[in-house]
Amino acid sequence: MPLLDYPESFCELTRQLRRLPSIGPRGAERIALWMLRSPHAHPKALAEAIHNATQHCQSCEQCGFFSEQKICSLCADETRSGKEFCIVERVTDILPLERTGAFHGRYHALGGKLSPLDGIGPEQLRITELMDRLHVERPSEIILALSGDVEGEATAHYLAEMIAPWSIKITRLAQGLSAGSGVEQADAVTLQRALMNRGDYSL
Amino acid sequence: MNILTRLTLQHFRSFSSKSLELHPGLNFIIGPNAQGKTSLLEAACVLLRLKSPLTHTLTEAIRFGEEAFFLAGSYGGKELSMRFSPGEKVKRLLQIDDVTQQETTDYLSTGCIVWFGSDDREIINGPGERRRRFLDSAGLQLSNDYRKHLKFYEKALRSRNLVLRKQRPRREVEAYNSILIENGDALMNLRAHLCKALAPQAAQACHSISQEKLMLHYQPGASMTMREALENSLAKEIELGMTLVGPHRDELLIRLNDIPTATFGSEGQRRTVALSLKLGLANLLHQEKLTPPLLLLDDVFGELDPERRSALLAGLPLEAQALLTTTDMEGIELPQTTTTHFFALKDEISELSLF
Ligand SMILES: [Zn+2]
Repeated sequence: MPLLDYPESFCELTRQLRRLPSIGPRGAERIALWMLRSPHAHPKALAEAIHNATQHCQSCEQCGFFSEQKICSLCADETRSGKEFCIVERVTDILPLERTGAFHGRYHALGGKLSPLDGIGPEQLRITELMDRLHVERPSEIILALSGDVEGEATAHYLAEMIAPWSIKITRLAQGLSAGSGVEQADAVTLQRALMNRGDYSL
Repeated sequence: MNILTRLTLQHFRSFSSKSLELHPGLNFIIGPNAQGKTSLLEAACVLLRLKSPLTHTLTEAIRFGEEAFFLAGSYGGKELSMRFSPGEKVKRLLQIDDVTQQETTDYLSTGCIVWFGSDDREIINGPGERRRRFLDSAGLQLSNDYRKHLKFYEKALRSRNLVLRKQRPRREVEAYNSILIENGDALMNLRAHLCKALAPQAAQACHSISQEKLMLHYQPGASMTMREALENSLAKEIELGMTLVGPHRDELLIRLNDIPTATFGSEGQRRTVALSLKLGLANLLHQEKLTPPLLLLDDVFGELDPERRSALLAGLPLEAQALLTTTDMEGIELPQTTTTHFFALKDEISELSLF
């Protein structure tokens, strides 16, 4: 045991910081020291921001994206076309697609992809929600923006089967997305091209 | 011609740190059992192919009490290095000439190996899985497409089998069909071509060893296209809870003098055929890659009679570099056509200048 250590409140701070993703013991200590000593740290504002964000951010009931209301601003936007639905795996896939400026329809995040080996089946994904939306919103085209690995392929096929009775046009982003990779890793140009050149995926 | 001139191991198996200067021709590593001779060969294999012939999980190869192993080597003028640390974010760090590789394609195209093990005769009379693994060891080194198709096929197959076993709805089972169709057909096609190319090479090797007639025949695990085969077998698959057709049911039929070797061959014949398959593969890789593969022969001499030993050494591709482990050199007659070096491994490793 070393004779001298930081005071308990400081140690508690580093313990909490270490719980954050990709922060190790050295990093936690550095951040804690900065918090205590830098005039720019504003720890109270930071604490409030963390509290506020976690309190007020919820999932949009329709697309699944982060929102402070029940429905996010994009789903609430009447000027957006409801004719096209873009289906993505994770909510974090929505912003990269949105930033391409090439898509003006609505999104639906599944919250993952079929992966029985990891215990993820259709019940773990927002597929029932998607079917409900099809009933209400009646899109004419569904764009599957899913990754090109085994799980993404299986999910795309599963959804295409589910949607087939609706006779909705189904397309799939593939062009330019390298096999095994997903939307989040792709750059804007690649995504834009992928959106433009989407292929027919209807069964 | 590509030669492994240096091999460095850190925290690999029982080795804390070890470096070895190797030579063209035959490199014999001589020492008593349990000194890690095999680990040196395994390290050379993992360095070049990122896979161990001895274990599925590389984690096993990490030295007890450590969290990562590191391998490096000079091969064909390139500096290869591989760090395997399963606990970290980047599990496998690959470098060629100090440049980190994001993809494995370039790295894996650097070198080929053929592994000769003392249990090779199980390829002949073991379960079909052994013969498919042998074919994979050839296919994976010959084509990048093979690797991609095999990876997709195996993952989709495991997922589909789990869904079948859990008696999930048919739609979840069929979600994997298109992946099995695309990659299964491609894989069976690649394996058929592979067997066609391998058969004459193996037959020739067999003829040199024992003047016997060896025939290989590829029997695909689906007698029609994957699409038709899956359609036909779905009802049965749901009943039995597993996928019944596809390349995971492939067979490599082996006949010696027109007789199936697995059931009717003698022990000696099985050894001859196993050697012929490996030598045939070595010659095929040499022919396709225009440079001989690195040959790794792990303790194979004890299993063989003097005639087969000589035939094996004489049958190795002429310019090939080989690493061979043995407990002693008794009864091993060295060919005159190639240079030979000896290393003694007992606690420490040292090259012997004279033998
Ligand atoms: Zn929304």
